[in-house]
Amino acid sequence: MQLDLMLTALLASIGVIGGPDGPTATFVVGQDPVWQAMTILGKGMLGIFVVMILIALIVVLLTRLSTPKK
Amino acid sequence: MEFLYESLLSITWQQAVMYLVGGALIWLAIKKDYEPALLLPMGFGAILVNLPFSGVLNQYMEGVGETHGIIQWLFEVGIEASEAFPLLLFIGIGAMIDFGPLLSNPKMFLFGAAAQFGIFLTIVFAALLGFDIRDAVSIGIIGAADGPTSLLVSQVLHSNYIGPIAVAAYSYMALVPIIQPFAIKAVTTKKERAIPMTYRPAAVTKTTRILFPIVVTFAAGLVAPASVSLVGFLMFGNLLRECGVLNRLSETAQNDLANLITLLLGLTISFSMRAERFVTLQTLMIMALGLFAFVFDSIGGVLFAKLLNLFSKEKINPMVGAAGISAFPMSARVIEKMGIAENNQNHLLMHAVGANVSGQIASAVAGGIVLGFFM
Repeated sequence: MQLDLMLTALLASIGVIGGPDGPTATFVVGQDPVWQAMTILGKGMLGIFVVMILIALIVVLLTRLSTPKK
Repeated sequence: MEFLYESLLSITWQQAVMYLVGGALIWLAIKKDYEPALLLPMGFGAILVNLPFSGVLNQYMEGVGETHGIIQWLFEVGIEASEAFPLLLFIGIGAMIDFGPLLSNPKMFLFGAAAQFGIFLTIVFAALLGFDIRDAVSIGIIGAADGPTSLLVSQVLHSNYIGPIAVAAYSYMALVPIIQPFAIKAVTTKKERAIPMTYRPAAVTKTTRILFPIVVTFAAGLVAPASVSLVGFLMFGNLLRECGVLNRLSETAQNDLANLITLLLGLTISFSMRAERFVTLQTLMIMALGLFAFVFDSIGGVLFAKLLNLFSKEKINPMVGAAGISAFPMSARVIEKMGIAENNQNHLLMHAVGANVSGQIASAVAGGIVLGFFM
């Protein structure tokens, strides 16, 4: 049942390519939950690495600045 | 005489299933010692809310109107209205954590990020299985291995599955010692698991310890504003601990506040375990997806460590990557135990603790990032 829904949604999205209208096709695919989930996967992992690397760099900087020079 | 057995006759088979679920949670808490502080109140609450015409839920009385039930009220005020319970618990958690092992080895921040991979992959799989995107995100966040974050995200997104998500988040957290060894062994060789790591911590000054929670709040808040409540409360708790002038408040946050909220949180979550919402096929799917998220978090961390090893001279034991999940300190202990099993001179505990506390921050940031997609 779930697979049926998924395939129907996929086929409907592909069918819109026949528009032939770029913005419409992009809009229709953009509403698809799987596509939205893929976007969250890409942007989410990027976002989390950016935040954690930023914090790590600040920690390195803080440690260097606050450690008394020998 | 009908009033004596009216309730008994109105028990549905779904409610009977929930009595068994409640009993199973209580059994796991007492007999297996799996997260007893949460599973026991949740189990007992599951029984309370599923008794017919239960007084802990709002009911309609003829001639009186609606009467208020305590568990429903706690849920509406403590979770639904403001997510107060999970957030207040974060103050206690922040006060409990010593970020020293992470601050002395900042490379470990990367593993906290990598080990959130399971969250995002699960969101895709949940969407593929036909869940609405808000529910898919709420299910994926089970992989944060962080109960309060899972609760907060699913509540903010008005997920239909808060009950199963809470049960999955807390029960899998307790099952980390079983889940992680299986996931790690699936993607590592014996030789990789025996890679030795020496621990040479850099000195961490008090200034760094005090500035750290403030800096993290700024960094996370500016990049992922929706994470401010989660990360901010976690870091506020940590600032209480590290500032050195609020020891009484820090101890209160670590003990009294955390215990009180935990006690109420378990009972309150049980509101979302009412039979008509819980006994569904989707609950089974959510439990399976939650397990999937935990497994791929661990695999994400391990594979990232292997990737780093391709470019670094000093090799990292890839198992340390798996400790980047938020389940603290269970995950670090699992890695230490597995490291010793492969090489009895190889103590990975402090490296794993660093990655593990990094996971605490990363999971809260991940929660904020996914919420940001709906702002």
